[in-house]
Amino acid sequence: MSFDARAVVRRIGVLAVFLLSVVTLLFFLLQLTGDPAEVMVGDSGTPEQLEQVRKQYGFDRPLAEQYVRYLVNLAQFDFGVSFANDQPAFSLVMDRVGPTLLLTFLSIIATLAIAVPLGAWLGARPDAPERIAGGIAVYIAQGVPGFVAGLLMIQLFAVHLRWLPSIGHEGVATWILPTLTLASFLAPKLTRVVAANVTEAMREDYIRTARASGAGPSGLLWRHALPNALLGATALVGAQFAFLISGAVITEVIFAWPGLGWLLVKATTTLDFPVIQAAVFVIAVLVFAVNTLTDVLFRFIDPRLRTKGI
Amino acid sequence: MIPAFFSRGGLFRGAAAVFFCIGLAGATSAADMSQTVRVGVNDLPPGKGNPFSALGSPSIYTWSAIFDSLTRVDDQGIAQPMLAVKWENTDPKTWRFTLRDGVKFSNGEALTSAAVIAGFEYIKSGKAGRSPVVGEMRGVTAAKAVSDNVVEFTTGRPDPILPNRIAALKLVAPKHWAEKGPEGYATEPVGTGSYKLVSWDANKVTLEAFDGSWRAPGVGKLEIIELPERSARVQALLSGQVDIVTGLSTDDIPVIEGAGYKVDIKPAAQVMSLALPLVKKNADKKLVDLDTPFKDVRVRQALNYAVDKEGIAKGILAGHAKAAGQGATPAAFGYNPDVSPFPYDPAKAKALLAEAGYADGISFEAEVVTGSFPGDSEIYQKMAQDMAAAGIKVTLRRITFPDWLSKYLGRKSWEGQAFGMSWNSAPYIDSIRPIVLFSCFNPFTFTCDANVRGMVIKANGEFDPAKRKAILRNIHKANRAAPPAVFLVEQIDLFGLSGKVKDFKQTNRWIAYHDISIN
Repeated sequence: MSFDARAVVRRIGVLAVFLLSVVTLLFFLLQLTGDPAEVMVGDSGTPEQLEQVRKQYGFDRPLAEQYVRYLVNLAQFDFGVSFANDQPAFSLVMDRVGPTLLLTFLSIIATLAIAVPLGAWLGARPDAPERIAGGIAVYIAQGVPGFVAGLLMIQLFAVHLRWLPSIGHEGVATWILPTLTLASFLAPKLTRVVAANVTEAMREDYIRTARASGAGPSGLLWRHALPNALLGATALVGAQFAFLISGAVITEVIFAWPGLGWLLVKATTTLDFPVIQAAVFVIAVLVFAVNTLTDVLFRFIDPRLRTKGI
Repeated sequence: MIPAFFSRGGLFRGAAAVFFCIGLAGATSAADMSQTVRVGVNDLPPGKGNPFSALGSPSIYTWSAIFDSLTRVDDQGIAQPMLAVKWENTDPKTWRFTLRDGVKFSNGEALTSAAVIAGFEYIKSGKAGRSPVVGEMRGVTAAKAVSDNVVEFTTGRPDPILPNRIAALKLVAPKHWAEKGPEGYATEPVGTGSYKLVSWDANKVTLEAFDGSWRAPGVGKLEIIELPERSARVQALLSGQVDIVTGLSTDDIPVIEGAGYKVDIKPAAQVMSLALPLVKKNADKKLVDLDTPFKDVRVRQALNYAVDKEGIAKGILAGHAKAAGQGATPAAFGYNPDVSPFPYDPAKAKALLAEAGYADGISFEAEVVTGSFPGDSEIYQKMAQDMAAAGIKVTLRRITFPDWLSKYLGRKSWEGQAFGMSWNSAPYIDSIRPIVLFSCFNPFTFTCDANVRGMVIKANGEFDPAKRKAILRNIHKANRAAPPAVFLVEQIDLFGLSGKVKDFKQTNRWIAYHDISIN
């Protein structure tokens, strides 16, 4: 595969337009949510105090002026300071990126570890009674909200069995339940995709040819059908990254995991605009980066895409 | 002039305060470093260790381990000595506080008047614009150090409850404050409290015993862990990962008690109500009367008769709360024990409505915020259901707290004709606070009763506690006769405790960490 400079420039251009759209939309949407000065001052504040805060943070300026100033500062990666504690918003957000990426990465590994073998097993002989039952169980699991799955796991493994901690992120033991919870958001869906793809692959001509050449059931499944079935699964994992980030918000709140999602929830309830803007900006960049990475991975995995120049 | 500390509550309260002092100051034995208390709170202080950035919960759960004020208000609404041991008003506009001897901050600085002045000057500097302490201290015009251990406050008008009000001003180590500023202090807080900071992480504050504190603890370490989800807090308690949890609901009581743990239930300083707006601020910033059915006092009374508050207290709050008939809880100074809640009487409600010309009933929309109090969503729904039985159709509209604030503070218009409102006596646990907030004196008020206005003026100038209490009680009586709101229930605070925790005490959410020990 050769380096395609035009494709890179095109990607960067798309990223710039994407980020400008996100920050612009966010800026104006946040204006509809409320006045941060009022939240800061509270219900016992005086009109004078309210005016002073509005002046201090520039909320008294015309909206267009606030927007231009916001874009100019953004170009310098200056998101301002948090309204809650005067700490730089971008640093607060960057401090939380690591834990969220760790949780997301672990959950993707857990999702693959559960979904690929289970999906392959279910899809290889979809008419077998035990696999029909397994498929129904996966279908039901897909309907269980991740929030509920997390609380049930805490109840079982932390409260009753006392095997695992349910709070914090200090050490491997504290990673297990949040990882499994976040994995529960995507694993059932991925299992069903892998199963469907394997079933379809097993009907293909090349499988028949392999069988005629003497390949056993195990070889047919793992060496021939599954690699083809995983193409769709890879696309799903890449496309669902943003979904996993939203799942991370819920998971982080339940498990007191100090990540980006939890910070975003807190900032939203207090109308901490600089932190919300910095967090959404970083999430947008992450989603874009993962989508790009998925595209690149696809070109490695599927030689047909390289020859088509996609 | 008699020091207010001694004159206000008579011999019993004076003696209680002395024991309180001795109890606190006597806690000087070295902490057991092998023990740790873990507390699961719904939120860590958003402003971290800047003690001027917030008031009340959730910050108070963490700050009560680190910081102290000159006074602290007890569960009877009476100011008790903390870093000030006595106080007196030398003239109606001057209060003089004498500081406790031998107190040190955790960085070694000695407590002197400079600590009080440093905090006060910051609050008045214009740099603390968003601090809620600014609003609480707006009546105080000056502070000066009379000596190293005596500080004097001047108020713009006579302020009989400054010793209560001053509890909002937590003291900072003046040199450290000057060096670090508010931003630096937020990450490296220093106080005179039982514990000193070890680390402040995103989800956990780790503290260790400050053995040199005037209220040194018996337990060596304290971890305060943010657990925003209530069910996660309960599960963390039941799984032994934390020893104390805050912000529970009545639904959690059987779960926690069923597991053999304890629930500490105390009245909160808040009364939940549905405000019935009668006035609003116009474009010229003047209060004008609203054209609403609520302007007829019989309609407001009818609404109060229509709701089964006892049923709410017993059914939704499991009998741990009380029905409310006034805008104060029994702990608040000025609460009137003779003012009873409106009885549940739908027939009388209908009759009053008919008398007022609404024989076919009335309908209105109420904008409410839920998730602030235990069971509040169910309480509003029960209220609407009860009112419907009396011919009053209420459509509940849930709004966010920021939206509620925008409407309350007049930037946005209310879309409904009534709204949820809490009568909050905290932080100084005196019923004058909500009364003034919801009176002609506040430009954001929803009600302005000339009779109440006159009594507020009298109360604000009255230094004799007994006479002041009588005036406040009369205001509650007047508000019962012509209710500006549907008073629902006195709210409660619930804390969950593991079996290991001994001597847990909290007053108005201020946790006495120095008393806590672990089995």
